[in-house]
This record gives sequence, C-alpha cells and structure tokens, in this order.
Amino acid sequence: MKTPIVVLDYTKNTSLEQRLTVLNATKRLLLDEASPGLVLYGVRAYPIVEPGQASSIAAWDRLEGLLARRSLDGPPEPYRGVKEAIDMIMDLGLDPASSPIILFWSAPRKPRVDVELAYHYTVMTGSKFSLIIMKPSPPRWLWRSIGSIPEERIFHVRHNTRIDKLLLRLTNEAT
Amino acid sequence: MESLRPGRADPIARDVVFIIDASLSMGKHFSDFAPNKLLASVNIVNIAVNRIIHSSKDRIGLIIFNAFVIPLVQPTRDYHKIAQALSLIRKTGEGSAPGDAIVEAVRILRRTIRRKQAIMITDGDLNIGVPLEYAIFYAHASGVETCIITIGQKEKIPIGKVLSELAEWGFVDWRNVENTRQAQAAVLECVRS
Repeated sequence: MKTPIVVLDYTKNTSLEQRLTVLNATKRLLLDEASPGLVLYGVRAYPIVEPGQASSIAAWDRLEGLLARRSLDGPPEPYRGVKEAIDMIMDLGLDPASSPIILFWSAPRKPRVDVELAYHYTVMTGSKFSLIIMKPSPPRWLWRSIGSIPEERIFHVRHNTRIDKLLLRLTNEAT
Repeated sequence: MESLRPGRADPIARDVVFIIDASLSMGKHFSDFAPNKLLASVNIVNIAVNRIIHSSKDRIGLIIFNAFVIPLVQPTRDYHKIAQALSLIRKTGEGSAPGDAIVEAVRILRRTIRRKQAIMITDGDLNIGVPLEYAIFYAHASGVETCIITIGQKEKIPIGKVLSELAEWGFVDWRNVENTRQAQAAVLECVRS
C-alpha cells in the first residue's frame, strides 16, 4: 500500500481555503487505496495522522472540522516538517520507497537552503520528494530551480491546478 | 467516532506515559496540594507508579513540560529509575505546551505493540505549541488512550472548553480534581480503565 505523507505549512501563509483544499485532496487519496499521513508545520512541526493506518473518510471529515479552527505559529520551518515525516517512516517501519513526502510551501518568498536540505534528507532516506509551491513570488519563471532540487520535483499551483489529481499522480509515482 | 488506528495491541500489558506539567503556575499552592501543585502531583504519580509496577506487567514512561517538552524516562519496569526521575522534578520554567507533550508521548509510544496510554496532570494552561485538539486527535488516531487530569476549579480551567468537547467525542478521558484525594482517585481510575 502506498503511504504518502503530506507536509503542510499551517501558518497564516496558507489561507483557510487553501488548507481545506489540501486536506480534502489528501482525504481523497483514501479512495485510491493509499493511506496518507499528515504533518503540519509552523515554527514547530506536528504529526497529525500516521500513514499506513486504516482510516475512514468520516474520520478525516472530523479532522477537517478540528483543523479549520486555527493556524500554527510561524515562521514556517519546512525542514522540521520533513524531519517529522521521515521520523514517522522510520519509527513505523514503512518502506521509504512507498512513502513519498509531499511538501507544501506557502511563504511569500522563494524557498531557500532549508528546503534544499529537506530534499536531500528525504532522498537519502530512499523516499521521493516533491515540493508544491502554493503562491510563487516573484514570478515563477525567475526561479524554476531551487538550489540542487531538480526542476521536475517542483510544482507550482495555479488557479486551475487540481491539487487532488496532483497528489494522486505524486502518490502513484512511488513504487 | 471510529479510531483511525484499529490495530491490534497486547491486551495484557501496557505502556503508560505519565506527563507532568512543570510550568511556573504548577509551583503555586491550591487547595490541599502542598507544598504546591507540582510536588503534590509528583507524589501522587509516584504512588501510582509503585502500584502499577508491583501489580502488573506494564511499563511506565515519564515526560515533563513547560514551554518545552522534556522526556525523562522511556517506558520501563525499573521503579528506581522512575522514582529517581520523579525526585528531580521541580518547576522548570515559563510557558505551557500540553499539546506538544501529548505529541511527544505518542512518539515515544509509537514503536510499541502493547496497549498505549498517556496520563497527563496539569493545571490547564496552554499558551504555546500545537493546539490541544490537534494533539489529542493525533493521539486518538494513533491508538493512544489519553487521560487528562486538570487541577483547579472546573469552570476556571483555561482548556476546559476544548477538553469538554473532545471528551464528548470520545477522544479523551477528562477528569477535573480540586483536592489530592480526588487526584489520587482520578490517577488510579485512569490507570485501571
């Protein structure tokens, strides 16, 4: 079973609408026989749902209701979020190749070395890393690559991007 | 509310993590919690641990928290190690992050296949860290039975409203106590449940 882990910036950088969209898209992975995990990050990172456990749509609906209440304190530390995800993979004995890590970035600046380090840490573990940029600024064409993160691992969300289909595609890339 | 984690665990033995609030507010006197809420709570936990170790195969872990979470003992059946750790506890600093403490307890209990339980004693302040409802959901989803014992007048507990709601949903067992006799009974009931 594929066990992708969504690592979501849950500070005020991400609007409530965006948060709910990502949570909804993650929930929909259950319909495609994946068992997603969820880590939220701000200045600290917190596991919320462990991957690989049986779960139900109803439970995720309840989770959405809880999570919509408030955000975490910033500034966001994506490396901590990814580290939390990797800790989960290791502690639970999951296959890293089946547990892609999907990092959502919402801060209004270009990701820097902390995200690059998160990429390398993930790859060293044997997992696949994807970076989804929720609101690129400055314009996307100015920064197609981020350090040594390959361009094909970076995805920009536009107004017509279907995040659920994107998550499904990234999940199915895993072995 | 069905659990997100219907996995099987050892029904006989448990891993129990005690979480003690060591923030500055716990250093104050309340009711008959003498000399202060923290030291009285430590004493109550000591008695409970002694009883658990000598009457079951359970293992006990220990965490304290203020603005930061400080794991002290991984789950063990070594009573002397636990007693020694308890004797070191004194109020450690400002801030209160009970949500973070619960998340840490779940991390510690992640690797065990035994039944998992986290028992927290706090005066109910929360001003830092992950919102409590997120942490309690995570514990519930991960198969950790969470029991929170708050010390103080029920209507004045800052996190009381959240706990009441989560208790209604079955995510947490919340007990409020106003004296040491009630606290001792609450800890033992949590342990027996």
